[in-house]
Amino acid sequence: MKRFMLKRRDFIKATAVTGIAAAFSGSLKGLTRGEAAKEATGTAETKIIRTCCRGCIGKCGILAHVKDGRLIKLEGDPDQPMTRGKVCAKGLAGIQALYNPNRNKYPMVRAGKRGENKWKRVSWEEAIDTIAQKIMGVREKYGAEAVLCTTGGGGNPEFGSVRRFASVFGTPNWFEPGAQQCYMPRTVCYNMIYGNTDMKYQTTSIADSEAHEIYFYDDTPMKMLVLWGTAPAYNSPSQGGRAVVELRARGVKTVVVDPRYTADAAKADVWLPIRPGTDVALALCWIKYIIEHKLYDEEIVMKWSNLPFLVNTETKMCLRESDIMPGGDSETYVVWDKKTNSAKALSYPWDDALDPELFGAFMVNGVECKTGFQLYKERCEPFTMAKAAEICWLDAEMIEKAIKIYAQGPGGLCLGVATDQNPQSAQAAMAACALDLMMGYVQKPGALLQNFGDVKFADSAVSPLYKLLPAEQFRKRLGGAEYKGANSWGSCHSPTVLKAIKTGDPYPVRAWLERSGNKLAMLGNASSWIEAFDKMEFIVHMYMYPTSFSAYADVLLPTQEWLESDYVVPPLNMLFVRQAVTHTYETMNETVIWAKIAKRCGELGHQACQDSFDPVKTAPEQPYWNSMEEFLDYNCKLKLGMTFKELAQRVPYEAMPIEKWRKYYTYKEIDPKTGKPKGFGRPSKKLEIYGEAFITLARTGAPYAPYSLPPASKDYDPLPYFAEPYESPLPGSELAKKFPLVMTNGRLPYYHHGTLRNVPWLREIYPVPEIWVHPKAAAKYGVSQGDWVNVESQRGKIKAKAWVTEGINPGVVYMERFWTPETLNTDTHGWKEVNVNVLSKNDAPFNDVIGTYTLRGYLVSISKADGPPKGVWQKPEEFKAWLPEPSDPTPLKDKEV
Amino acid sequence: MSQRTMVVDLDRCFGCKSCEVACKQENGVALGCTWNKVLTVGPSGTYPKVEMYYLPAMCQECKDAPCVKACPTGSSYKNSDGVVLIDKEKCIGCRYCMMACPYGVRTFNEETKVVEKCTLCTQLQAVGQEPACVKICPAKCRFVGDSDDPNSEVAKVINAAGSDSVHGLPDVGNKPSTRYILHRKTATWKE
Amino acid sequence: MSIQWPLVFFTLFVGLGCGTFVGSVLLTEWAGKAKQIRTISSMIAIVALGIGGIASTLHLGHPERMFGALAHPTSGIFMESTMIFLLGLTIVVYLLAIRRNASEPVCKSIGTIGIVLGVVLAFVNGDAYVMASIPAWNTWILPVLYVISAALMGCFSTGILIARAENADATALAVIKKAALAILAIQTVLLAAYLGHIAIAPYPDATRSMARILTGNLALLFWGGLVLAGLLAPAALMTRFYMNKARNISALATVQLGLACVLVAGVAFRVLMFSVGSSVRQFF
Repeated sequence: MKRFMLKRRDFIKATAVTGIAAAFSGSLKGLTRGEAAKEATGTAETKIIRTCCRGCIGKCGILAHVKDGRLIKLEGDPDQPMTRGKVCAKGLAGIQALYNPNRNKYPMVRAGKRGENKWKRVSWEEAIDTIAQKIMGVREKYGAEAVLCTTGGGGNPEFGSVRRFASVFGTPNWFEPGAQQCYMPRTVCYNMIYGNTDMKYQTTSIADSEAHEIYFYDDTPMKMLVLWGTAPAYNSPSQGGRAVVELRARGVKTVVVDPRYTADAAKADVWLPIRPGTDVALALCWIKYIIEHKLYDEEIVMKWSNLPFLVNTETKMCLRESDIMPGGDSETYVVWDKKTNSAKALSYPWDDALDPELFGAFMVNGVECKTGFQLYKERCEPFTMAKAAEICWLDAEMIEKAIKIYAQGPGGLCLGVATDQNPQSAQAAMAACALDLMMGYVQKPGALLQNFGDVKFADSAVSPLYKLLPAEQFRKRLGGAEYKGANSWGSCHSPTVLKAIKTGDPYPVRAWLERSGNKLAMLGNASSWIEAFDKMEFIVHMYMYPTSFSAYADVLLPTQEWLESDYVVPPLNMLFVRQAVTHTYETMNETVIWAKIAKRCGELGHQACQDSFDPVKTAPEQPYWNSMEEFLDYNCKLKLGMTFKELAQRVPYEAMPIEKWRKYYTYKEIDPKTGKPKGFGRPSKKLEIYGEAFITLARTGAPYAPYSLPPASKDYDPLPYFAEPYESPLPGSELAKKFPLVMTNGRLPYYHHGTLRNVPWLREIYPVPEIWVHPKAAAKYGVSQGDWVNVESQRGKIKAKAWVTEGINPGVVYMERFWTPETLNTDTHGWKEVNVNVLSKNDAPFNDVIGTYTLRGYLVSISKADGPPKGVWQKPEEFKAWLPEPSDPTPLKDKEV
Repeated sequence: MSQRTMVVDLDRCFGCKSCEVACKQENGVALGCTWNKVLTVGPSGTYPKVEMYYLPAMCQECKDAPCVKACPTGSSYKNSDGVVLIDKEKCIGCRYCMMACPYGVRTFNEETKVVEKCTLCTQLQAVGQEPACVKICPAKCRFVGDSDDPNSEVAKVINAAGSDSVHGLPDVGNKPSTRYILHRKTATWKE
Repeated sequence: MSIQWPLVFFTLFVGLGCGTFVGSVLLTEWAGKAKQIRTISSMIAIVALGIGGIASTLHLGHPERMFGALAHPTSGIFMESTMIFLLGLTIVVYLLAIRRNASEPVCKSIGTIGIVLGVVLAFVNGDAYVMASIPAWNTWILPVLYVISAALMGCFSTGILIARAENADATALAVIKKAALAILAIQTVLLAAYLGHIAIAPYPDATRSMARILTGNLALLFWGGLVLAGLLAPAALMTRFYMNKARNISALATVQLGLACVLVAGVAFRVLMFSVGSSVRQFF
């Protein structure tokens, strides 16, 4: 009897002690401590269900304690190899999100005027039919491209559903507020430079569950880690953040490049508080230093990268054998051979007869050619230590100290989301990738960039079905031809969509199907979208609870919380499952909702929608499904030869033995077909650090566009370049006279994007957004610790609470995104009070490759405010209104519609 | 004698506050009440040469607990394993114990009108489990055990840290037993 | 520590009760003046103690469990309640003795027991707050200030009773005046000493800093409540009264104003005490 380990008297006291708290706290009705003890032993009628969190995009394993169909407690699953039983505040908050009284419970259609917040409950059949009728009407009137579909990161079960529906319906226009501003710049650039790997995405992002080497802290030879624009302790405490702690404890040195003094910065060996938006200048300085001090990996650079290849300085393209020799091979590249002092074709993988120059300019057939490395060297030339320090507001000595740690390798440069959030997004990712590759931090033990195995569930299991999207529809993708990098994900460009909605140029967009946390809190320059809502003939919002966006919608659909949903989750070489621990009201998995809409559109005569359910027409991809079970079983049977339920019973399931999964130096492995090393996943099989492929991308859309596209307005630069932020704080800037401070953002451990602002436990910890202000700036603008502050940009004005700290540059302020569900039913709809994205910038300049706008690194001013915004809750007791309203499980609606 | 207590490695703690939520869940702690809170110490110094650490604050399991002495009804008592507990059925809600606590780590529940505090999750201890905050901590910075037993994990963690890096909160005669590990390379301990 | 209003009024009224009874007994039984106020002053004292007692129970979350304290006679709360009960009992006995025209030595003896209890109770009221956990409270000056505060309130309340009596005893009033000025002088010294204690108390913190008291958000409370209402105003009133220059203001009005001032100061002092009463580390 374990429970009597304490003396009986003590135990009775202890239970009496806590029993009162539980019975009266009102926070978890039905949960008393006596039960907690029973649950923990697993002997009572409490079931422990093994599932996985989706409070963010992590994969944390969860043990859900369920009693009589009701979830009563969440714990970590110690078997999940990336998280080892750890769960963060967001994950634990799942219970308060699931039973939140303010859930969307039933499908509803608007009963009053838009924004009046009057709704009428309808059946799922009616809701789906209404949506299908409306969007079919819009398609009839304006074309399918007039239907916009959107999704977003917060609490997203998977990203593929919206993309697939768009293909099937025939609209090229879907987006999410992240994408161009989150992760896409990195996935595209690392893919274009480092190349394809077994796993679809291969960047160094810890926040995106990559950089798998960090989870092997017990035996990795890693010596250093550069956290650039990322804070694992904040973005993924229980997954990557945890692993970084273990690495540090084992002596791994860290450098943190971040404008704000985060938890990771506080524990770093060097903190470089960079001026937001100047990352490329710093990266170019690092490259310059590495070239000058010959710190690069000579073997990798010479034999495994395209840096020795000769580049035609006029076309910017690499020379091929066919360029220097009639009848030469068009896939064999050319180097300058020292021995013969001439241009020679270098056969793959290497020719010992040649002694190629790494640097230099040479005349080849009357054309000046330079090596890729020479071009890089010239590009970096202006970025001396002093220059970088001046541009980036850093100390030159500290920069050098950081580079020296970085050069100690192995390890890597973990590039975070920060650089994805300004128009230099692609250039920053190109430079970061180039750095790791030049240093040879690739595929060796201890490196972040790897080619570990694929357990087949790493990407969204919802396939895009591009084949059902006709070429002429694809070519209508808004921004698709200009920012071709985005075709890698297949999404359109939101500012171009906004313009199309407002002006009808190049065509009107008139219906909007949306699924995400709160578009108005996540999209840059939120106010600019209000006019667009008015132009919309039909708006649908599907989510777990109403957000500011819901106020402008015509139909609301209730989607499932992660605790109600099923999916396959792949940590490292293992497979786990997210599985429903209960079901509430009439919520439905969005993966099914989109299929239902497609089905109804098919019934209304949409041919592609009908075809999407036909396995012959969709082959080799999965046809649409009628239920989650059907969707998941298809995938599990195909990839594993078992049903989802069978997989769930076998969790933790080893999809691949760890030795086979965790493989190094795969580029050296001999390809039995060719007898030569496999090389890297680029056409040249080399690391294409000189980004020739970016030029081709700009001209044709290759390799991402399924159909060729007209050239972009100008070629993409094959090398990273630095551009001063458009809203510059530097002397001479007129704008800086009015708005002198640079705004940056960054994650907190309690929220993911726009989610969870209605969870009492989390709002109690962080009720309102703080603005970080340096004491000098605070004094200058008359702000004291804890004051409410007006924060203003060219685009709007909000309030935030001052956190006066030495942890930020006097010229920089920091805020995290926020909205206030408590004021949803007021004129502000909860997005105008404290939402930093009222201030951010969504107009040109955009990143040339990707189309990124400016969420960080724009100018603001601050002044003392007269008080808090009206109606915004700050005291813990105020959040009582959102305490759980537990409900009994309800049957799934999937099959009834 | 035994003294069950907590040791927190501040070199590891990164302020994610998972433990705050885990505590609320496990113990049904009401909104506005706190048993466990992660404080930020700093940043101190002058930008950009600053330092900062996080300090998880909870009952320090004093050996000579002033809250127990102040309690007029014996509601606050020291358990046989050294943990200070509150028998809520005896608590008259006078809050003298809150005044007597040098660290302000007790909390008054406005609904039940009694004082509450960290129990080191006695109910989990009863089934052989670690406190909720220890189990959940992503940084693995919390350890719990008998500090009077040289073979306990907490004693070993303290020994491994070296005496220069083991700190306690200010002692005004109450003899707090909780220990914090903080090495100079992370930050300077603020007394 | 947030301001515990029930405790503010508990100690204020208990102080008033103690002060009134002690002042009255000293004047009537020991100095042999103004005997006619014995009954009314005792009744006022007992009522003040009662109000104080009720105020203290308002502070409790579960007053119905109060008897649990019986098992722990060493606790401050037990001692305070016992003292109130004993003092109340003594006053009742004293009243009965007066009523039954008991002999002077008997009344004097009972009253003297009350004096001892009253002084000790006023002291214990303050002593309950002396604890190592709260640096600003951890000094003997604090309970002495409670005694002084009670004495001052006692002076003025006794003064009012004398002044409003039909045949007011001018010599009794003179004693009151002298006593009040003397106590004010002691209070000035003690208050300065208390500030000195706060200034040098260990574990300094912004919540209990000199700056906060003298120039910060407690400055109004300190200068207005303690210095002006607690020292300058009553001293001025007493001086003018004593100098016999206050022709346009009656003796009664003067002592009434004086009592109002010291009551305000009493509240201000207690509020200030709670305001600076932060723990060594106030984490939650």
